[in-house]
Amino acid sequence: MRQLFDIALTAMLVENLALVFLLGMCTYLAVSKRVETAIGLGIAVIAVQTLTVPLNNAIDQLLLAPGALGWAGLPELDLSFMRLVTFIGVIAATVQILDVVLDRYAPALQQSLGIYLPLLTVNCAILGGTLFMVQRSYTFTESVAYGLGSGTGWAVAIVLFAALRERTRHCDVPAGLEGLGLAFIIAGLLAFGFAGLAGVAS
Amino acid sequence: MNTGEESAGRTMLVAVGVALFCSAMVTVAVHLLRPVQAAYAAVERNRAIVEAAGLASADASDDTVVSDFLSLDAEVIELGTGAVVEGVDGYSFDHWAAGGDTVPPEVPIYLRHESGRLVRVVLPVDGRGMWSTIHAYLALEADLNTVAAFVVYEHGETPGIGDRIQNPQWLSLWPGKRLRNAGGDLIFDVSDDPSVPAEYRVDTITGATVSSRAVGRLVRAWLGEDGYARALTALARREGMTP
Amino acid sequence: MSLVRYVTEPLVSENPITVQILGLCSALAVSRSMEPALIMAVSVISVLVFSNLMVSLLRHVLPNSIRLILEVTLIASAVIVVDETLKAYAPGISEVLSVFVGLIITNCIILGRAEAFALRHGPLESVADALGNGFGYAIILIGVAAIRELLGAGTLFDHPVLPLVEAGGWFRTNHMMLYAPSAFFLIGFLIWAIRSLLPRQAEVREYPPVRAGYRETSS
Repeated sequence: MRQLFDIALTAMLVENLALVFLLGMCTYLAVSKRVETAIGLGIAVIAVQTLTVPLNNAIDQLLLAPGALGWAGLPELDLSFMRLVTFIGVIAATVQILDVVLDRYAPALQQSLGIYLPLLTVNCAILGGTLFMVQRSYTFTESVAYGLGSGTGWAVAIVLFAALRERTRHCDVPAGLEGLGLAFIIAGLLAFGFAGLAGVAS
Repeated sequence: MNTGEESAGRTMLVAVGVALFCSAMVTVAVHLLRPVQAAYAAVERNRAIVEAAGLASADASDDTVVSDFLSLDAEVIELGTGAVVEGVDGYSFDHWAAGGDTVPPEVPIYLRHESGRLVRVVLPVDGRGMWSTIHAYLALEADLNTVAAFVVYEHGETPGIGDRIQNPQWLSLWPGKRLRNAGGDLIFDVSDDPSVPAEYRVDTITGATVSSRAVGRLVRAWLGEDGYARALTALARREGMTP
Repeated sequence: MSLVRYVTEPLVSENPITVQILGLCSALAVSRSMEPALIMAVSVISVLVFSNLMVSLLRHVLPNSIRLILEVTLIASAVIVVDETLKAYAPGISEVLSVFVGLIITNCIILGRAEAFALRHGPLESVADALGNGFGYAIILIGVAAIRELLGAGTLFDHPVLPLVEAGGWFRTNHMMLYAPSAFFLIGFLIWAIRSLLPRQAEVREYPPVRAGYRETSS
């Protein structure tokens, strides 16, 4: 249990996908002008990440990893080169299914998340989470903890960032720095702040 | 963009067509490239061993690496007894191929002799790092108690953080460190604990403490009773030295 | 527009990174030194050319309902080929780039250009557009990497350029440059510079700035 908690907390803070590995930056910079929209996107990321990382973990362990097909009598077969295309397929499918399910059972939530969900297929943080999971060969339960932790970390990062951007909206900055330029510099400062959490690991 | 009629049949047809094209492309590429990758991996492994043995530098040509590797004496030993396993080719024996976290019963070691005398012995070590299994080679001087080199062969530690265990500056701290004290206790470790004398201790890497401690832990585990302890005693006897 | 303009336009005035805000992840994460950045740029350009070409060729047959997933499949297959090639011929770099090669799939430049351009243009224009955007991406990536490597380690392509203090020279390395967040600052300042030179790129202010003098009189 403690180990799972460690994995989730490390994924959330020390190895924050957005601010330490700089993944999902396109959406991070594009959809962070308002805190409200950032919260919506953050929730969508948590949901998709918590679903896709364990799902891809199961598929990897049962089908794709070298020697994974031992149960089917084919221990020699190595399908690991199929990983990328399978993972992105699983992510795209999960996003679409989630969209349909939400539309059917929670239309209000779908209305608020609807526009962000399709964006997540091409969000590197989602695919990145899966790839880190494979690289570190997590077990299934560990991958649930990692998916939840890394998704939450990304959400926290974008909400913090959106709040900072809202604060600077009225600031008098040089014309060329206005908007995107300033956003980059704020993100850099925030990322350095997170880099300071590296010592928490042990 | 397609604006015309979209029948289910045609959609399926296009989907199958694209899928077939992609799988053909990927299969051909993988089929052509896997042998190149395997050959490279083999040479890289030999390079790590040869580097640990102090023969070739990290950027030597592939041919030099292979011929230097073959100039070493490779033998497979049984960890439980420390005896040499006869009839197994040490140059190609791969105890890491199976994977898994358990210590395998038989392990290849590489001896470097110069004019009949043992100069260095290279021992493969592995274990869990912060995230991944770290594979490395530890080379010992002929006294079998002094570190000659430590070479990390492969690892999957966090890029930019844990991968500093491959930093040449840190690895250059290893040579000359001693493993066991006069009483024969294994006190070598990777730590910042000042109570361990400096000649038995490698400092951890700032910012990569977990990964570097893990390296210390796996080296200690492999040198202990479950690891090479018996094999090293047997080796010293075989080479006619008093350990 | 002539083919040449499709190539030159995205280099500065329509740059995918600084203007379209696409493909940032890798630009920030693999820009620590020149060699991986160069390999990354070449990989992205090859995948981009392939995907733009394929999508353009298939633009009349791709069914709308599954268009996106087919595009992603094409891109993912190209990335697998690139990944396996790197593992075979540049394994050291492949290890440095680790998961970022796979993440080319989600590099928004690639899907972005397929959707925004290749679906509406012929193969020749699409390849030109892919090359232009690829080079635009490469300029920023390699430029940032050059600054980071030079200031962070005093080297370019691992060759010593600035004499280090440790080796008796005068240059003290700036460790901040070795950390990923420094790329944010560099790109931020770069955008500032570009927008100051080309003012039409600047964003329209949402609110008039609050001047200090105004604050005094209103309180």
